[in-house]
Amino acid sequence: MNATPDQSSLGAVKRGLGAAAPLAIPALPIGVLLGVAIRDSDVVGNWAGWASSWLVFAGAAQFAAVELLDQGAGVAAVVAAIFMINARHLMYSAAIGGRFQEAPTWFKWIGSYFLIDQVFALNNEYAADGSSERSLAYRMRFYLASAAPMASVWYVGVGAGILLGQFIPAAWEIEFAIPLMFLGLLVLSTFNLPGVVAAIIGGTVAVVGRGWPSGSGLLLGAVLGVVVAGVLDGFLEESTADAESTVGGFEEES
Amino acid sequence: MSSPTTVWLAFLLGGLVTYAQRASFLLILGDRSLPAPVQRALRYVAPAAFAAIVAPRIFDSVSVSEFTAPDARLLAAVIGGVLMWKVRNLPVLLVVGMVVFWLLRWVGL
Repeated sequence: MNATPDQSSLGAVKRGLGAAAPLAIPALPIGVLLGVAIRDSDVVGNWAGWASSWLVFAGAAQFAAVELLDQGAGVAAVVAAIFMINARHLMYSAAIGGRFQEAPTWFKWIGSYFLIDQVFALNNEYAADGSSERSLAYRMRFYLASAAPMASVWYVGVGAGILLGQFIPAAWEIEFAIPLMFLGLLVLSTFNLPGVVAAIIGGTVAVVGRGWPSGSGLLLGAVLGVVVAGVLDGFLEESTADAESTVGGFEEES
Repeated sequence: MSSPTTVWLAFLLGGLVTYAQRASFLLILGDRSLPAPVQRALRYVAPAAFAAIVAPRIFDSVSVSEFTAPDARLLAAVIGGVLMWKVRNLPVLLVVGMVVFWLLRWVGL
């Protein structure tokens, strides 16, 4: 216990748990809402729905999957939607991979499973306690300790929502909280002009295609939004780089 | 149609796909990275996908061909969206958005 924080395993675990607490608490009602959506679904059974919370372990994708299955979508459309909605995890993995390059293989296998939004937020190189000044052992303990409360709250919250769903009157229309939650995630994830364009294209195509089979309106909207925003982002970066080079700005690594 | 087999298969494969995405760089690709244009486009998956999920649920009462008065969902979403933009706090949005929605329903919208 009189070791420095880097050598004390307890210090890393405590800090990891403490950092995750404010993110885990708001995750609970969202997990309960997913449980209610599963409970209310005519297609998704309670066990399968609960299992999705540890099989897929990604709130937004699970909500979308339940919604699509309710609309009668097939396996391919649901898996494609999950792939699209979770594609940001490729970025997380790319961003965090270098920091755990020398970690043992077991950690990479287990750590990958827990790489959700909040865990990425707490463990990337810009996060306060994830800085590379910490030893690898510290970073690994902190990572796992910050992931554990998120996962526990999620499994329990979804289960509680499924169990309590029958006691929530339909007249309350509590399911409206789900588009509200996505609206919140949309605001949090829209940080620049191409992001706004991606949202407008995605939303418009999805509204126009709301009657299309297998959630293809949602998919087409998301794909078109991503492609156009990506091209626009590249164009804007190019013109910024041109402007900088004429002023004599230094070249950035990218 | 979606049978129990479809549901389980969708969650199993969806879980595998998600795990593969999370493991991609940690486990398989090592220190190599995605091409820049792909990385650039992937930054916009979240706004595009979330908007595509939200919009049909908020605009479901709006018709292109005839004028329709905005209903409680649309109004509550607009108010909630502006609030979220200001406070950037998910629990606050959920609580205030639902209360506004219920009030609007109560007054008959």
